[in-house]
Amino acid sequence: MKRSLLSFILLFTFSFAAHAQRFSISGYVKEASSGEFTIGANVYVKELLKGTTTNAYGFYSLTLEKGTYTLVISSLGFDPIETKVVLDKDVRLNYSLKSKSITTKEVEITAERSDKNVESTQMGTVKLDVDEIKKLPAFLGEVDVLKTIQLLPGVKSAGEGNSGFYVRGGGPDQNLILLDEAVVYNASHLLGFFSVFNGDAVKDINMMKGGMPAQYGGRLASVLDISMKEGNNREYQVDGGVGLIFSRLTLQGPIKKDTSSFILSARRSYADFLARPFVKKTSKFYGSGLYFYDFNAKFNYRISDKDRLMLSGYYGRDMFSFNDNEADFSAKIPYGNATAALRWNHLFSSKLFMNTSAIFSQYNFEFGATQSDFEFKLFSGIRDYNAKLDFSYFPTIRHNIKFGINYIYHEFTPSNASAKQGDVEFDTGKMVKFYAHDAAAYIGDDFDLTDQIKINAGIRYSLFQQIGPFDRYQKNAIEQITDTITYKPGEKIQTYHGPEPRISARFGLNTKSSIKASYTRNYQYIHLASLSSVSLPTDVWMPSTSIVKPQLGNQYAIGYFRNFANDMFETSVETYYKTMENQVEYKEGALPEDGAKDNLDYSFTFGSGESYGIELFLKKRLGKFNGWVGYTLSYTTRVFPELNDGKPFYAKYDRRHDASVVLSYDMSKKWSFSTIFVYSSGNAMTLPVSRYFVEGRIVNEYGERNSFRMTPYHRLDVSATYTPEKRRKKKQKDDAVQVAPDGTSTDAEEEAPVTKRRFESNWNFSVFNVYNRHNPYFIYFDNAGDADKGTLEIKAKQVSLFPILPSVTYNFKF
Amino acid sequence: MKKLLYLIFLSTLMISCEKEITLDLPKSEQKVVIEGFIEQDFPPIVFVSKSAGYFDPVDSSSIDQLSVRNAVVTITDGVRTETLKIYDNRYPVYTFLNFGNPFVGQVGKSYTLKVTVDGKDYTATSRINTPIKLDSLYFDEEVNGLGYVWATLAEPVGIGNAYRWFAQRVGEDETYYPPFGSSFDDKFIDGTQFNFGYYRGMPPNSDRPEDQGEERGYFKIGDTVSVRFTTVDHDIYEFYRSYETEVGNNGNPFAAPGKVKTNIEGGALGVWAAYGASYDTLIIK
Repeated sequence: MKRSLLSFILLFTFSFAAHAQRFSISGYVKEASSGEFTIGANVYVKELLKGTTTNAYGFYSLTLEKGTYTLVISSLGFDPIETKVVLDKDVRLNYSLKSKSITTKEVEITAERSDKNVESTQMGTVKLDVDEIKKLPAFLGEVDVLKTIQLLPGVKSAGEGNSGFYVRGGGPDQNLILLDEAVVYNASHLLGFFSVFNGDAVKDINMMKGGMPAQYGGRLASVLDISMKEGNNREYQVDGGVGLIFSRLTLQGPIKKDTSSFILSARRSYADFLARPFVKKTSKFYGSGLYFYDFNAKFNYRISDKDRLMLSGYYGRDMFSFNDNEADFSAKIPYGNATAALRWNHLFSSKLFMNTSAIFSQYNFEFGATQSDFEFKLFSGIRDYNAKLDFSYFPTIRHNIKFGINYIYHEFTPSNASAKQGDVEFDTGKMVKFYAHDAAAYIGDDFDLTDQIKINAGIRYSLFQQIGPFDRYQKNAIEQITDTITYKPGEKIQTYHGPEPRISARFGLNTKSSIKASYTRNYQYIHLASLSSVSLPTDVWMPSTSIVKPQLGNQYAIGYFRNFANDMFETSVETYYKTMENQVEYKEGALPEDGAKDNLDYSFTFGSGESYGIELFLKKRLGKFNGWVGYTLSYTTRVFPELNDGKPFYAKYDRRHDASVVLSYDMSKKWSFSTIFVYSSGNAMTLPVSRYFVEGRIVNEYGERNSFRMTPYHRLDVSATYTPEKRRKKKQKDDAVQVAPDGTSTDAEEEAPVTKRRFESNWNFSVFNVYNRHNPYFIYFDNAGDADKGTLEIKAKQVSLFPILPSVTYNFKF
Repeated sequence: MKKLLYLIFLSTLMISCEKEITLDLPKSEQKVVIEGFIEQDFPPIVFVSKSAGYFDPVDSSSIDQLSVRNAVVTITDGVRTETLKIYDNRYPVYTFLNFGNPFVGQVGKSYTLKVTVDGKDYTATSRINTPIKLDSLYFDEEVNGLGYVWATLAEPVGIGNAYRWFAQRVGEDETYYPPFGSSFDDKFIDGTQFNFGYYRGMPPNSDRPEDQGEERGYFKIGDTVSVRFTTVDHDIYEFYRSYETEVGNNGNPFAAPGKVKTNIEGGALGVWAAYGASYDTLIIK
């Protein structure tokens, strides 16, 4: 490790020395209409055929030799800006990009630079544009970021009714999901039918399924980095929508124009979503229901050109209530996430950018049930306090160096039950919490070795330490507790640490094609253990302990990237091989209550995993007719000494074939159409193979783990979006300027303060599952009859969730 | 928790549709199934059968066909070894009936069962633990003269005890029936005096009138209830817990497939259980 650090330093100090007098151009790129900073905008130096992109805060910096240059600032969906810059001193240049005028507007699914696919060192990375996601057919008319991500090759849906996703053979816990840098532990609403991300409040979506740079860590499989909008700092804006499941409303605007802004966004599902319409008042299940609500808020304050403060937060809750009036049973299950992030951007110099973050993140789940006078409560959750310091350093145009440190204090409450009957409390043990320090430092450089070879190399060193207070039970051979070791608050229990090297390289074959390769090593210190075959909010987060070792992943990937027809088409072929150590599963036959009055980690068993596959991707980026086709062939296996008699078995996440087709067609200003087709091999599952009798009752004996496949999943969705002729909004509050009665249009895209605005709206009509395919959600067995009378029959039943579902959503903006 | 999974299951059913499908399951090898028990003062009883394919038709004749009548079954308490045999072919259970020199269970002794089928040996050992008496029994009416039978138990100090509960309505039930969740250990209740109640167990697939409708699961005023409260080895408790979980989960797609445990070595399924039993009677007035 020391040696690689040293060679790093040597490498770039050497390249500094080789050049003459240099100055830097730096600044921010933003959207003209809203003042939002643009993430990933290209700043390109025509003369050098080189450039950079803006970072997560819209900042860019280029250091060049003295001279005169032509800069092109571009971002898809915006008109590019071309300017001449005479560079004889350090300059600060901020740019505002204007939206492309409607007539020339091309629909692009992503906002990548035309040749970024081929040019950058990044592999397995996709940026999605929210405005374009909104045109795709959506489940019950509601656009969902996570559902769209699952249409990309290598990213697999965990199934209907499940917002979890699997990346390259990794589990749902192996995805690092960040909302404005705060970790989101459970990204699902309504048992997974929707995700927690509100499309109206989201600005940028970046998915990394491999080759993640060193600033990210803590998960094996992927990084999903979502940035919230900052809020329009020019004028007030309202966005909203009314759909079948929920309504949403977003309000944004300047607090002080061009200096500070806010955005507030809320969603609330109608209380009746799942159960109520199906439950009559006389039904014994009356009173059961499921709903959610969530809020996003962000404040953004530009103190000076060098300093900026951002405060953002998310709060969401789901409430699932269930009543069985006959059995006098009722249950309430609230769960949800809360995050808050305070960030400070500071520019030390035009070459050194810093972001400091203080982040809070929490997920909890409760289950409370009463039956007569018996009460049962279960609580589980995770809470993080996180501090981060990240630097971007741009010494020359050839280098983009990132380094920083990160510290998290974790508080885990995996599963705590309490029960009482009348006044009698049952002893279910002490409230068990796990506490841990989690720290990391990283450095990485994205640099041009030659004109053909570009390298992104980095290293992350991470450390995890479980600390007291904690009671560790000692057990005898028949797993009875014989002794207890009590750790004092703050006392070290177990420490793990290790280096995580990352490297990806791009070798340009010509301007239209390149070969990229990457190696990534990751430690993951937290684990999500799932009892059932689908991921549910009941799944508990566990830290690494003396029993549970950290997960370790190694991923090797190589790919060929090529653009065709003047960058109209983008294609890539990527293959990967991945190993995963210290994977966690529950022991066979484990029950959720096993953790009560015991150390939960004793119900786990450990093994390793392996995954490999090939991903094909073809995208038509431009034109009225655009979209993509993705296909993945992959194999994912697990080996656990204590499961399946130690034989390898296919992981729950194993999908042999996975394909998706996404097409959009902009017919006219008023109408646009889109369609999605998905196909994936059936889920692996364990089924009983034989039966026997004990005490006259049938007992099932199961076959090899996950040796059975459900039928393949496929589905076609279509949607049409109708945008009526734009109307002027009648009158803006205290607006002195009258709108001309004839409605002559003035350009609303002018950068000058706009006081009159158009009311925009659209109708989205979607049909989900057009040909009404009965896709398997799960399979169960129904025993009917009487063995003694010879009428016993076992029937396999397949449950499907969604038949053909039409929906309509109305969206507006003013 | 299990209830929770069931709820989720239920609520998804509300919006979903289901259909019957045909599954092509792989053929599995038939395994030997042993179900045997011994109690103090009673001879051992062992039933030997084989497992059936999952979708194989099941009726009385197939249960009969599944039973193994040519097994060699022996029992030893470490000193005395006897061979068990089938006395009545209509009820193919292996036992030992010799009134002159009976072989019956004794408290404190361990019994090793050996079953040989088709040349393969299967063995298991289980100990008759000291019976623990319940402090008292009482009836708690829930509705219309129906209710559950409750017991007070002073659980002995020291972790590692396990129990199984059976009850019989004298003159009405053919035998002692265990209710669902009949077995528990002292992990949560070690050394405490506590009350616990059970509903009325019933024969599998019962079509008796009292097992249908509102009486189902209830004892009622007028019943004379004999409770057989047994202490068992921890692995017997584990077997019954996994067995009851599997029987109870039957088909629940949200439950982890449960491997029913066994205390039999050699690759057979089932259980060899020794019970230290204490009996109590409650007349419900």
